[in-house]
Amino acid sequence: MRLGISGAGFMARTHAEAYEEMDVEVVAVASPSGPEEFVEEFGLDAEAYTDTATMCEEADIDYLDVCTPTHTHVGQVRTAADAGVDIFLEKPIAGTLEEAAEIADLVDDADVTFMVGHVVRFSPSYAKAKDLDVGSEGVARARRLSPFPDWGSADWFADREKSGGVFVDLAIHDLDYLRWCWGPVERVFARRHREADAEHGFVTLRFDSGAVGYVEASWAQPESRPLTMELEFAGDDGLVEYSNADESPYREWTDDGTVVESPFAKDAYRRQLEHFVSCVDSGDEPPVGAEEATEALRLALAAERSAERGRPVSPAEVGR
Amino acid sequence: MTDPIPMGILSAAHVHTDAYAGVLADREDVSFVGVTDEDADRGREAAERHGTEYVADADDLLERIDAAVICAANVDHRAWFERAGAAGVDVLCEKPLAPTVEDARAIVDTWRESEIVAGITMPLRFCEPARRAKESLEAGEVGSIRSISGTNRGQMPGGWFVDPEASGGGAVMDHSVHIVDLVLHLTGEEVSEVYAEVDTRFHDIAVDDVNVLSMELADGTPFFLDGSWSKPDSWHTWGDATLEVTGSETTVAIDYTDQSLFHTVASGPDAGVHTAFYGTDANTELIDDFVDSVREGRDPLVTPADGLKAVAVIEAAYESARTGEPIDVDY
Repeated sequence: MRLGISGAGFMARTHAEAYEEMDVEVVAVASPSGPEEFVEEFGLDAEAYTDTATMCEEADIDYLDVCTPTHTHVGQVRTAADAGVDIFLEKPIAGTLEEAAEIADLVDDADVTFMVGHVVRFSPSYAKAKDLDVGSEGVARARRLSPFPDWGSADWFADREKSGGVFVDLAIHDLDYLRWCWGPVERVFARRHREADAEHGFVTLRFDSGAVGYVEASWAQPESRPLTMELEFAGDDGLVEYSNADESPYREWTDDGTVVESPFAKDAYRRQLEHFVSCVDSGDEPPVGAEEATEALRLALAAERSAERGRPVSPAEVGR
Repeated sequence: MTDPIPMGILSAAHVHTDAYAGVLADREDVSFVGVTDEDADRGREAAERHGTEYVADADDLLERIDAAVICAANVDHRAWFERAGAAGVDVLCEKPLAPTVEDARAIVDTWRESEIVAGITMPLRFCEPARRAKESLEAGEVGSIRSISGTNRGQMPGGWFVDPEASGGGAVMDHSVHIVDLVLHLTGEEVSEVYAEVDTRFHDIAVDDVNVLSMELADGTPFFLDGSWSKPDSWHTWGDATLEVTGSETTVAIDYTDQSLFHTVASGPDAGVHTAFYGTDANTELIDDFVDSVREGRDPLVTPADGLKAVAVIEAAYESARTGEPIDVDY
C-alpha cells in the first residue's frame, strides 16, 4: 500500500509515527513550504512535493492522507478525487456545511474510499466505554481540555475563519463520539468564553432519546497541563467513568521531571489508520464517511450558533 | 470558660441531622438540650442516638435554647424560621433555604426583623481545598476567570426528598445550591442566567434526577454544573463535589471527597468497595463558625441573604426547564 501525506505539521507527524509501525509505504509528502525536513526526520523513502496535485499525479499513490488546516480540506479532497485516489481526511471534515457537502459530492462522484479522522472512536478507552452497559441512558459527560494550539502553521488555529474555534475543532471529537454512542441530538445549548488566544466552551445536548449530555472543551489551559480527557456515561443501571489524568500505567521520574505514559500495542491513531487501510484494501465502507462527519460538524456549528445567539438550537435548523 | 450555649435541633427530617447532632454533642461549649420533631418516633430516635432529650413541645424547647439547627424538610424551613425568630432563637438552617423564592424572601425578612443570628449549612465553603482555592483567587494568582465547571452528583436520597410536597423538587432543588453558593463565595459574582436540562431518567420517582445547568455569571463568565442524582446506590460513596476554575494565569481545581481511603468490606450487607473520607470535616468547621457567630452576635459566613441567591438560581433553573429557554435570574 502506497500513500502520500499532505501536510507536515502536528497531525502529519502523529500519523507518520503510526505509519512507522504499519505495513504501508509513505512514498510522498506534500507541503507548501517543502516537507524535506519532515521526510528526513522520519527517515522516509519519500518524494517531497510543494503541492498536492503534482504529488497525486506523479507519485502513484493508493491513497492520500490529508493533514492540512481545516479551511484547505475541500481543495485537498478535490485534488485527490480528480486524481482518483482514496482519501483519509483529518477532522473536522470542513469548516462549513457547504464545504462538507461539496466534499461528499466529490468523493461520491469519484467513487473513492473516504474516511474522516474521528480518532476518538478508535481510542481503546472510548471504544471500550461504548460497549459497557449502563442501562437506559441518563447523562453523558465528556471533557477535553488543552492549552491553546499554537502549533499550527501561521497560527491558523487562532484564525477562527480557518479553524472554526474550539467547538468546530476540539469539541467535535466528543460531539461525534457521543452521537455515535447515544444517537441523534434534538437540541444543543452552548456558552463560550473567547479571547484571541484562549477559548473555553460548554455544549449541553438533549438527545432524541431524551437523554442529556454535555461536552466541555478548552483551549484555555496553562502550558503545564497535559491534554485532559474525561468521559462518563450515567444510566439507570450503571455508570462508566474515565479520566486520563488518573491513567498512569507507566511512569518515570528523573531529576528533570516526570513522564507518564499509557502505552498500547496499537494506539488510537494506529487503530484508526489500520482500519482505513483495511477499507481501502477490501473496498468496505469506512465507519466515519462524509455523512457521519457532516453530522458531527452540524452539531459543532449548532453549538456555535447557540453561543452566538444565546438560545437553544436544533441541529436540524443549521444549514438546511 | 464562658457558659455553654444551650442548643437544640428543630426537626430531624434531614439526612444530615446526625452529622450536625454529633458535632453539637461533642462540643464542650454547647449544651445539647434536645431535639424536637413533629414525627415523635424520628425525633426520639435522633435524640437517643446523640444522648439528648426528645422534647415533644417545640415551644418548650425553643424557650430552653439560645440557638438551633433546622434539619426540617425544605417546605418547613420558613415555619421553623418564623417560630425561632419569634422566640429570639438563633438558627442554622439546612440548605436550600426554601423551595421557592417567595418563601426564601419571607425568611430573609424574618431574619432581618427578628435580628436573630442566622446561617445556612453550606459546608463546601469550609472545606480545606475550597479555602485553598479562595486564597489563590484572593491573591490574584488565577488572573481573570475564563470559565467555571462544577459537579455535585449524588445518590438518590429517597424519603421526603422525592416527595415534591415536602422537598419542592428533586436534584435541581437538592444539588444545585452547594456549588452555586461556592462560586458566589469564591468569585463574588452572582449567577445572571440559567439554561437547564432537567428530567427524571435514573429512578422511578416523582421529582427530577437529571440536573444539568449551563449558567452565566454577572461578569459574563460561563459556569456549568452537573448536579444530577446520577450515582448508583452501589457507588463507593454518597457522591461528589468538584469545581474547576480556569483563569488567564492558573487553573484551580478542587475535589471535596478526594482525601479518602478505599475500604473494601469483604462480607455482610456492606460488602463491596467503599471510600472513607479523612479530610478535615467541613461540618465541624461550619458549626464552629455558627457557634462563634452566636457567641459574638455576628453574621455567620453564609447568611439567609446568600441562601436566597441560591434559591433564585433554582427557581430560574426550573423555569428554564419548563420553557426551554435561558432564564434571567431574578434576585
